[in-house]
Amino acid sequence: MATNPDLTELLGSVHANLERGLLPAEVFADPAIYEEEMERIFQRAWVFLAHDSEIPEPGDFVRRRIGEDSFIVARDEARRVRVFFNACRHRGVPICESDRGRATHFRCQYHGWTFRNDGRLVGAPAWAKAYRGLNREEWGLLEADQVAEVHGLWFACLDPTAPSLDEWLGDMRWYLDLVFGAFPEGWEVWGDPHRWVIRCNWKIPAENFGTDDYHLLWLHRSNEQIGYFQVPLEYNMEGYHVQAGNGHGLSFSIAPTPDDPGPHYWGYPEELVAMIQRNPRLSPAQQDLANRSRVAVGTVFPNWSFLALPLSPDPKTSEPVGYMTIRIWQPAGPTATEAWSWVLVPRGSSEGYRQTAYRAAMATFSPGGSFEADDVKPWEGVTATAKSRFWLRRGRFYNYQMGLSEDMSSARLVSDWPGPGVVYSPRYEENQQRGFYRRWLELMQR
Amino acid sequence: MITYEQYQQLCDVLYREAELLDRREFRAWLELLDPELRYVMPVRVTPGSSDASSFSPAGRFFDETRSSLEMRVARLETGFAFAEEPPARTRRLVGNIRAERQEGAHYRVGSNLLLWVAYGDAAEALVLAAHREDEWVAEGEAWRLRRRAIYPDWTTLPLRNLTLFF
Repeated sequence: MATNPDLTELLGSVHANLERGLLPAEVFADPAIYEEEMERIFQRAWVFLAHDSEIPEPGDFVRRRIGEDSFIVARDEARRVRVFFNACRHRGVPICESDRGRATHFRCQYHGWTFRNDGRLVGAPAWAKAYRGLNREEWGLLEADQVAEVHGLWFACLDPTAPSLDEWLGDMRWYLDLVFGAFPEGWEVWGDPHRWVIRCNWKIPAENFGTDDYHLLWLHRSNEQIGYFQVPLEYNMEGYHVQAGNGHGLSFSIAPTPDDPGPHYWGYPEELVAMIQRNPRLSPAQQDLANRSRVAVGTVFPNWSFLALPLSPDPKTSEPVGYMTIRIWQPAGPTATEAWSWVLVPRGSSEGYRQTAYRAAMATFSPGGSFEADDVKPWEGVTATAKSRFWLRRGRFYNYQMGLSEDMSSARLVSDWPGPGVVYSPRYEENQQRGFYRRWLELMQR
Repeated sequence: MITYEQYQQLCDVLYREAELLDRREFRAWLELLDPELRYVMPVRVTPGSSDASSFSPAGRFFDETRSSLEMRVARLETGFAFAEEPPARTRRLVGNIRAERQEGAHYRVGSNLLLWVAYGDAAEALVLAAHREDEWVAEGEAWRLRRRAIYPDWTTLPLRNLTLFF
């Protein structure tokens, strides 16, 4: 429990109002909340860092962050993936400034302490004269307490007592098996990630990808007008919201029947659909959902999201094609987020598919993308209002009441959904967004 | 080698292009683009060694054709492209223009671009810097942009979005 009395009261207020569909604005801008998140969320959560294909060979590394701290994700000479805090053990100077690369060793610029890519301290200038008595074994790089992967997605956790990644993922594992496990040979990243800075709190994009489909009806109208949507927007809302436990959630736009004329298998082209159909690891229920899926979009708590859907690089001249993009919403202070975004392509997919899928992703979901360019601006607006004294005094709460009761919206609990979790349809409801903050509160108050 | 007159014409077309974009006369700007245009902006990274390229082999912020740029313009014209409602104010400074003639009427033109951008009533503005490598084709009196590669000087884009043309 927080020791700052104001913070304790604030969290109490979140607790008292969340189930009424009200979220106090302080959650998005208060510096004390943010500091507490760095401690209670990011020192404990499983955080996504990298895709396996970014570091395929021994010595490959990428530089990433957990909370605001810099970490090196490296594959050592024995091919083991390790996550090191990016600081020399001597005086704490960062030992890596590159975004990515290949190295057998990392050397500190200050005094030249040198570490192998398995973290071991191997030497320093004038070792015999300076450090003859130092035990190298005790002064290796600091490592994340737990590191694990699922479908090539590497996560790390800084809490040695935290549950395993599988346990943390809960019901979301079944959906990751569906969406990322669809291709038996897995995925590879295409290109280096896009990175850009949004003046918003990190939780806002996380909850947006975690089942805010309602914004499609208005915010993305320009895309409807230039011919981007294969399915009318209102019809598209006839999908499902899945609360997948532990704050994770995802949303499906889905065909009602396997012979619906709209897109199937997330719009992947035929040769990739054949790979999914031949995949013995998908259960019949997963095969059925894959078949009927037009869009799958979700967030793994706290700050990792994915989106698979069919869009075109240029609707006038080319057909929509299914693609997969994944994101990190990197906290960079209470009111700033550094977005990281990758495009994944199935291993074994053709060069032609990769080019088109990447162009489609870039044209739609990227900083210059026709959807995402519009998404980010209201996120900054939500955050700006959270700093307003007048708002805090008079309005204070953001409305999360859609689907709070059966009187409120058309959304209903679904009883015949083939997968795990708590499921609502149609997508006019915010149960999962409340669920994200329920989990957030649980960790913040623990 | 090119003549001084040809150099002057190329400088003029780059300045005119910058002016059209600053004035948001996007349809007139599209007229400068060759139907075969390829327009790319690679992602920049801080690589692991000083001799490695700092541009991503496959990562792009833009990989456009004239048709896809037209689509971006059409989106801005819907009135619902909220990223640009109200529109950004921009000022482009083009400099260090160097040109050489390739075969026929094709010219390779390198330039530096400083793009000043401000949104709404925000007091702060940003300057984005990039190097551009173009191929322009002379068609009688007219010039058409056939190829443009934009090499940005950022690795992390300091903007919330990228709805500008470079």
